[in-house]
Amino acid sequence: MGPEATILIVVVVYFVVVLGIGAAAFRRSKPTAEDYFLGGRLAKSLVMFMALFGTNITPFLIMGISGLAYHHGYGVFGYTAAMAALIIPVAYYVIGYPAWIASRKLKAVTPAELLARRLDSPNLGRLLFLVYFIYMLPYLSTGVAGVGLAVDVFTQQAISFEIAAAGILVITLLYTTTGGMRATMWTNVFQGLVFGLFLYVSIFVVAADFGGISGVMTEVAQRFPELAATKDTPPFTTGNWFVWGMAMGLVVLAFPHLLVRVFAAKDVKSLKNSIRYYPAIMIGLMLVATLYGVWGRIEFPDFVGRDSDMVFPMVIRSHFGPMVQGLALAGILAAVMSTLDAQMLTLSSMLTRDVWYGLSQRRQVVLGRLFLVILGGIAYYIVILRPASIFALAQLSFSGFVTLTPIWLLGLHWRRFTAPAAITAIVAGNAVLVAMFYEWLPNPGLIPVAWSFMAASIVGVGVSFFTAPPPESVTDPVMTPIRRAMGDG
Amino acid sequence: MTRRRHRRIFWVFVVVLAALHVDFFNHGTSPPLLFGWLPADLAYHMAWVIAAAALVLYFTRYVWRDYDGS
Repeated sequence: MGPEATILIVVVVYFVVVLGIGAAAFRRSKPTAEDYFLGGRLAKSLVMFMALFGTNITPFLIMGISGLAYHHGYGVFGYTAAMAALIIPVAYYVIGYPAWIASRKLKAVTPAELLARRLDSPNLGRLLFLVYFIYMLPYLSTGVAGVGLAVDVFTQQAISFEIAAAGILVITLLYTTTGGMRATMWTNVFQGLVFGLFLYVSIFVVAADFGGISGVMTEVAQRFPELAATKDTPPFTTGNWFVWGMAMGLVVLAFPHLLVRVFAAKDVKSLKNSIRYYPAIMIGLMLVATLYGVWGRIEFPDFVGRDSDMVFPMVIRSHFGPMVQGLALAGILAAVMSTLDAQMLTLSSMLTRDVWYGLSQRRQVVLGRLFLVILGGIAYYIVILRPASIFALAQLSFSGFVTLTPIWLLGLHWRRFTAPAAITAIVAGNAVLVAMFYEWLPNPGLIPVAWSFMAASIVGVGVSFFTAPPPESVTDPVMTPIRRAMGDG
Repeated sequence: MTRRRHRRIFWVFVVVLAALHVDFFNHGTSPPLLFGWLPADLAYHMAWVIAAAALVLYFTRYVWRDYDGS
């Protein structure tokens, strides 16, 4: 049996296990929207942790970060990962926790639904769906493109990029459209374990092949000294360093598919436990990804531009046999599927609850499934175009999501915040972001997300003072419990 | 110590750590290799993450209440 056949068998076995878990979850689910989209709000600590972990690990992490580290060195860890260890838990406290309380009080299933009800504005929900949809597409495409690249490398073009990308979309659609949130959370436990364990173990094996960790790092320092030094040049200028660090922390709960996982928590303890060890484990994986990128430079020194996205699968292929390569590929598939499923499910739930609502619960589920198929088709089209590197696509997407953060902070902590202010802040923030990205506005330093975040914050606060606040009958049922829980009242 | 005081301590450390994250003093230099192989800049940020993880443990123990908002 050839190495490609072995790799494929390992991957097929993996898929069978994932689909089996999805089917088991489906048998235990009820035909209600709350069960389909939030798993009945019964996620306990381990499932919550693995759901967050699995959802947050993507090809951006393993292939995007390693691809960037390949060019810019160890500094990528400080630039992209370190700050998130602190800011993600802080965001869970100031956004996730009050949002979890509000979702229960308002019986909201989606992030857009929550803010629309909190501010008494269905149009706000529709606008949020649109913004989430636009920024989710490039992020979705990074996952699918990552799979295409990995399969292409591991099978040595036996399976093409296009077929691999289509395959991952179809399989994810199959188990997501049947099992819903319960299936995605159950499969995430399995997928997170596969991926996380593989990365942590494999980096030590690679290091051993190079003569140990000290050996490989000494070789990098001698052959590529520029990779060991962080310079005050792009992307590591001081201002960008801080802003991107903050953005990487804030973006996690700006993702609707992550925020909806928070809604699914059974109780506060589950929420807290899920975040307690998450930063150390998650950031550890980002360190591993950085090391893969930098160390890969020794063996593959000639990648130019976005080709460095391939460094992780190339290193794996040169250090491991077909069985482990199959596991690595399964790990990447795990990472992609556990994120894709959550992204798709969340967008479809927003469509049926925030845009096209008033349907029976059964019709909501049917429409949600139909939307998933259409979404998958659009994502596939973008993947085939491959307009930029994984990191660059993710950076655009993340910036869009982070621009929404001020709306969440104001909406969950300030009674005076109004729906017109939220809508104008979203429009203003995104207008600034797009203008900065396309260089229609002069950039006085810092990356675009810094300015779009500031624009959304200023407009959100300013417009609130000139518009009528929501009536107390709308704000009190949500804001009073939040203030009490945060220890402010 | 009251929860309010724990909360203040937590936020002070958040600001301190956020400021320390911007290690401009490492920029533009060729940092030494600790133990002959570990870049000082990488070691600095690994230590920073450990400090942040410790602060998160403190925060979940003393600052974040087990209260469901009811």
